[in-house]
Amino acid sequence: MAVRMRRRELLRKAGWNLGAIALGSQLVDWGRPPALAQSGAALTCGLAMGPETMDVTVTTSSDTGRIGLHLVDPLVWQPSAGRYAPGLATSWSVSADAKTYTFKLRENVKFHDGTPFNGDAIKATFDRVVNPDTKSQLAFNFIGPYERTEVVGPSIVRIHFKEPYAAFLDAASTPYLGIVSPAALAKYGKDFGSVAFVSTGPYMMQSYRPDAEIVLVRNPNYNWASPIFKHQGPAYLERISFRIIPEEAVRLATLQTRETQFIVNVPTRDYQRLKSDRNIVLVEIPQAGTGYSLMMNEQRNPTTELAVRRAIQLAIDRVGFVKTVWDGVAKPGCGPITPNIFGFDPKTCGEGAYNPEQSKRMLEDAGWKLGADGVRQKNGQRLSLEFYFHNRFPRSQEMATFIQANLKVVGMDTILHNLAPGGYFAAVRTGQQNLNFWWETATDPGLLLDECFASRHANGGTNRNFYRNAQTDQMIQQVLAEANPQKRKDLVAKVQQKVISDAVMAYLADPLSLYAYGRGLTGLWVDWGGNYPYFYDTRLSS
Amino acid sequence: MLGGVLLVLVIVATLLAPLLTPYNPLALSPTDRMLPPGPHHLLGTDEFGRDVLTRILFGARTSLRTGLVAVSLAIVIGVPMGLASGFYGGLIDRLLMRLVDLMLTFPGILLALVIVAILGPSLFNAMLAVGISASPTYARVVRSSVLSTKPHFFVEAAQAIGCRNWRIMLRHILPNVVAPIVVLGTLGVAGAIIAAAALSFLGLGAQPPEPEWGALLSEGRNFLLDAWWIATFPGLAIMVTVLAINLLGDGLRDVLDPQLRT
Amino acid sequence: MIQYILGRFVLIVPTIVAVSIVVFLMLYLTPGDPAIIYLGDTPATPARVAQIRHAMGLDRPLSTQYLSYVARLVRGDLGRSLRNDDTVLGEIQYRFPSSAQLAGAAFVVTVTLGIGLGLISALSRGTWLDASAMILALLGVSMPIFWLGLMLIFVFSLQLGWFPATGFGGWERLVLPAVTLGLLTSATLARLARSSVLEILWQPYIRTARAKGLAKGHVVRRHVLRNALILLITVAGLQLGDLLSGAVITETVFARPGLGKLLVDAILNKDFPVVQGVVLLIAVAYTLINLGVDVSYAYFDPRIRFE
Repeated sequence: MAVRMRRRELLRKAGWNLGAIALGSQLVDWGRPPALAQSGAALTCGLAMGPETMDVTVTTSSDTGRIGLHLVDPLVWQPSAGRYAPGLATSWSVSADAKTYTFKLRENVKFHDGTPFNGDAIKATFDRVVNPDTKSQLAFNFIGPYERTEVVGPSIVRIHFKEPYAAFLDAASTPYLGIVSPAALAKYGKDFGSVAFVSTGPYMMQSYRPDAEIVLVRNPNYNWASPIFKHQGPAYLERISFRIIPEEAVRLATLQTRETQFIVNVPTRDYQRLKSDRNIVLVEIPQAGTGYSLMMNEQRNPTTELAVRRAIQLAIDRVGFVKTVWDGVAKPGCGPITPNIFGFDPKTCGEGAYNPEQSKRMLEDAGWKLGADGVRQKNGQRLSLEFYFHNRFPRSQEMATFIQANLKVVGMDTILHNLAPGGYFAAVRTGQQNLNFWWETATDPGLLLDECFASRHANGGTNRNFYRNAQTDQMIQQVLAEANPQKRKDLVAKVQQKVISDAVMAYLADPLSLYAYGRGLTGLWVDWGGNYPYFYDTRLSS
Repeated sequence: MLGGVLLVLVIVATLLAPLLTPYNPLALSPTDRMLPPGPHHLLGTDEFGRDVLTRILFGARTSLRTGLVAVSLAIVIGVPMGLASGFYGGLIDRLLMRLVDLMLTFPGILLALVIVAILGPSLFNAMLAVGISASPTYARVVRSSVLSTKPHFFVEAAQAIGCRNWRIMLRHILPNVVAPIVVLGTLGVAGAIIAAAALSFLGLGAQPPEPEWGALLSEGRNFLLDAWWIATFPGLAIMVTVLAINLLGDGLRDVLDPQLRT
Repeated sequence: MIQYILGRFVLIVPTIVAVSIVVFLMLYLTPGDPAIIYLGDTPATPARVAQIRHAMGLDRPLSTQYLSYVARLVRGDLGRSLRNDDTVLGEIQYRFPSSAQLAGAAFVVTVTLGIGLGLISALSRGTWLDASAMILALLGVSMPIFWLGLMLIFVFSLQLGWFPATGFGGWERLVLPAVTLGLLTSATLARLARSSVLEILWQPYIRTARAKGLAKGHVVRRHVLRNALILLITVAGLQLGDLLSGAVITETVFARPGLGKLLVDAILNKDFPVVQGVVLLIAVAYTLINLGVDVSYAYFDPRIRFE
């Protein structure tokens, strides 16, 4: 009997709970306006991928950099290509051999934990970047042939490099070489970057919730802004929340429901519609870097042949590519670096323009004859290309589909391999591919050219063209070492001409960085490279 | 009945695809990009100017085939396990059920991703994973059906006249577990088509440019506000087919399970 | 009974061992090196790759890696992520509430819709009500999750402004993802519920009850619903684990933190400790849920007794 009672009670309770849920849903205030309450002093910003860590000196994620720029102060700022302005360093000098950089540091700067910023902090930060246990990604690349930091006085440091390194000021202007608090590094150990991230910037990390939201709160003691900004003292916005919203249609929808006031990576699909939307401001900045391009493996048949690589370049309709895949919101690619990079050579743009007839002729002359199945053959070998890409690369499927169709027109068969990152990197590092995508965003020409064309990266590294050329190597070394701007510019142009005449890569499209925000947001700053929107001067009005 | 007719229509349309449409499912035609439905392109064109109807018709082959593969695999693995487990009982039962439990503790997505990672991403490999991870459910259902069938007197009678075990299992017990297998199987074909769509969303489904319904839907989702037809029609195709398969399953079950006949 | 429960508890240990070995081997067999995936498109010389492999502890023999993992596991230490050095326990603890909330809410949707539709359909078998309930259920089963999620966002967030599209915290952020995730499984449950209710209705005791002159409502409540509860419990056992870990797409679309997304990212990155941690959690949760399910069978169905 007791058991039966309990059973009945349980059922009744279950029923009651269901009823309560039903009742709860009727208590919804259906009349609530779409806007969720947002105070004027707080900004919510929608990001796409989200960071894995907040430690800028470890990560490779642009989103960590975007958030991190608010948390750190770079040593120098780069308001336009190749021009530098004071950041944490008030002045600096570069030795003639580009091996030693001397920085005079701003005084009375404090980390978020109250400890003072000084030369020792720079030494601790940079020494940590090159320590293998830190597993630093971008910062390790940016710090180049770093040897040591010499603390000359509390506010003077000298950075020594093993080899001449002309790209260091550019590197120091990115968020990734931001200076962190040595006290906090000691205190948090391996938890630095997830539990806490302590630096000197206008904002402090309040909470870090991966895949969801990173909340920054204004640094009330901030009084060391760079003169390139419009005001001094603490930032205007009290709080900035960075929300991680991977699905692009949803990210855009949140701007319209006012769950966010600013979004990054605006879908190009919606570009035209947003352009005519009077409530939304679109920001478009050509993204500095390499643009989207195609690497061609010179160690695997048939892309070993210069004629085949040239024919591939000629067969790709870059104008159609931009229109179809990128909805017209990009420029057809023309060279290994984007036009806004220092030293870009506009003459490279005319080379290899779309010409399928010439492409066919070139293959014909090289002995590739059309077979019965529409694919060319030579000595019994089909003109078949293995194309590897991975699913995290933006719009890789669409880009590959387009290229495959273009190459088919001239009689090439392309086999697509869309892999998870593990399989992809295993394949391209060992050269199993004929073709793979490349994209990089950075602002120094030396680093960009080095990655793609230097033979030291051809050994399972980022030079997946497996292009090895002693002359090119030497020129790239010179670009990396040359601090004189005019000489450097000529060298950069020479490298571009050289790799274009060797038909190393095919250049597809130069993307635009697209940001959108609701009217009412003013005082936005974005770096010239297009990657880092910065909200120090930003205000919101309702 | 309706289900059967619908399914036959879908299959016929699939087989006759090259005759039903003048377009090539793969060839790009940038000048015809994102045309709305009209007299030339009944269901419009996609971002590459490919005819949506053609892509759906050709995609049906892949989708139906993968659905069938997944379910057949699940049945081939799961049914013998369930039969043996339920019929023999004892140690065999306990071992098999532990194995089933272990398989069920593994998130299906883990298995799918691992198989795709090892064998390379193709829809077929993904369906292997879907099939394997669905098999424990068949084993469990079959086992419980066997347990409820075994005490019946016709089994005892068969044993009494000296029938071999495998013969009893095949001739007397299996027919009695057909109904739940059919129901699960028809749901499973539908589920596999949907699972393929989910894998496409994660970028691990059908390889481009091969048309497959889930991939069509997944790729079209970013055009919902600008070109609704790219994703909507593949979605409807999935819906109609899933509906047809399920109605057919219901019909079959009513025929196979005399108890449920009204 | 208590002995039975204790026995089942002890079984969790071999399950954990088996699961951890299988996961370890599975990840080992998949192509790609965690260090190389980690470095990705960052320029790195072979010497640098070797440094990272060493820092990740991947240069040790596989058996050493596994044994040191087990040694730490025994002390209750799930280790740290290979990628960002976060503690696995911390990553799981942080995401568990969001996942549990979503799974629970989705389960409520599944049960309410599934049992409701199934019951309506079975009780009005052969009528238009039956047909429309089943077609409704089938519509649920034939919509991919990302599609349904996007549609709900477009209609209920963008057009009507009833619910926020994204985020975690507060029930109003739970409604759309829970419906998205729950609808799919509710269709399956509705069909199961329909056929099992039909089976029950055919049982002699129902005929007896009806013959006794009991009101239809009473029969449904006393006999049919209670039997349907058993079905519900079974489904709970089978699906709660899946709802917990299989919600990657719902989490992605609605921008929620969750175990599903954590697991998928970790598998793709071959982040061993994280995959291990999540799968172990799911295995334990699954085992416990099913223990609860089996015990409650005895409670709801007096015919079942444990020896």
